[in-house]
Amino acid sequence: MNPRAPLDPRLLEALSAYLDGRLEDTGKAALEDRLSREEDLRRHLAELRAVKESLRALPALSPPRPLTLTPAQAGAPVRPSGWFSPRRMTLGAALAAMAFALVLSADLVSRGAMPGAAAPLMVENFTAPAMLQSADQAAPEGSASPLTVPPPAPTASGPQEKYGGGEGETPGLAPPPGEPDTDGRGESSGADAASERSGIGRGSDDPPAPQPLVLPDFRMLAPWLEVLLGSAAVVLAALAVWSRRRK
Amino acid sequence: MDELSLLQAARNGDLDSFNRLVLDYQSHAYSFACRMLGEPEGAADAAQQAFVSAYRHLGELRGENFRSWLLRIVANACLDELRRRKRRPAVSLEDLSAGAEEDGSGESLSILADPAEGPETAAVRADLRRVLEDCLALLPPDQRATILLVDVHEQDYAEAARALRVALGTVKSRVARARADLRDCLRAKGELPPLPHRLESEASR
Repeated sequence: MNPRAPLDPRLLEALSAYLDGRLEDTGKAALEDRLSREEDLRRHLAELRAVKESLRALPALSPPRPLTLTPAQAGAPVRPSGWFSPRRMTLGAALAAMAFALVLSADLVSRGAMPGAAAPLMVENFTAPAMLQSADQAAPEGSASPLTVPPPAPTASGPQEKYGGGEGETPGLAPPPGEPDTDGRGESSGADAASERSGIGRGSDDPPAPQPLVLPDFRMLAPWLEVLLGSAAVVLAALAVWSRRRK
Repeated sequence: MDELSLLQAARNGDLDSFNRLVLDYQSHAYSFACRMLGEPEGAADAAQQAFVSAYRHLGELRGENFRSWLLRIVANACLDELRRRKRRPAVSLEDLSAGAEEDGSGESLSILADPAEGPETAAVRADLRRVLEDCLALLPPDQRATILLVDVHEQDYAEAARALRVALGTVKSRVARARADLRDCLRAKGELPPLPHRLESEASR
């Protein structure tokens, strides 16, 4: 073989890979067999090895100036703050999602365990309509609709003034159906009784009955917790995606 | 502080730690860029831009050797720059070597030279180096990047393939063709016989 003649590209690749120890066993054995028989092939190999060694001997060059970065060149740091790292955001989102799932499960279980108690119990204790409803239940049947706003304690001006009657009566402030416009005494007796029970409309002489301190129970807090944790999970996940893209 | 600690500190935004890594690796990055682009200032700019990019993307370096990762960034920056220029390097690496010697940054020649070798041997080595740099500059950019990664910067085929985003077989064939082209170039310039043989023949004269 003439070393000046170009090598077959596949043979050249095999020689080059052989130099780098990248030839598989079968190819290596076949090539070594040829090398043992062909002097020109050995010469090619020696030349390629010389090129490789010469390249390896090339020295590293020194830059004409230090390549260190100034803060201005570096721009934004890798992490403006450890708190906003994508990893932390992802972890936070995962934890919030897990807490959301836990609260939701507990909420569903507690509702399922008490059929018919779907409405939060504490509404009865806290909201005025609920109090009024209980008052209506105590009143004689048919005396007021459940939506009836109970009259306040009797005042000197009487029921007409209460509903804006008389001079300058404002439309839309008429008394509710079933409640006489002129004589509300019969109707007010039940409401008065309810007012007494609920403490509304007591006379100023009567000290208000102390309200028992009622702590909110889980089923009242659960919807709020679900909203809070669900929102936190979504916001943290969005922040995690944003910080990853920003990097 | 070891490299891992410096990297961790740099990831947390410590620029001083990153700059210590820059000092450790700047000659690798610059050498590659210089041999790819063929001009010192452009090479310094490209290498520094690669460090800026590396600093900003340190979070993406996971379990990989920093040097390999950096070379990958430099290689791509240089190939992009060459594609942008769409022309061969305007400055000969021969001029570059001469300039480096003149401005005192040519200590590379003294690194290459063995203190025990005589001036003739040192001169032969210097000649070979200059010719080799010129021959490298004549290679197509893709081949040049591949042979620089594999033979000069001692990356294995897989690392080079990852750096250049090509298949392993492509690296293998590019390395073989580049070595063959360099051999032909060296032969044409009378520098082909392996250096030990040439030194022996010089000594026997």
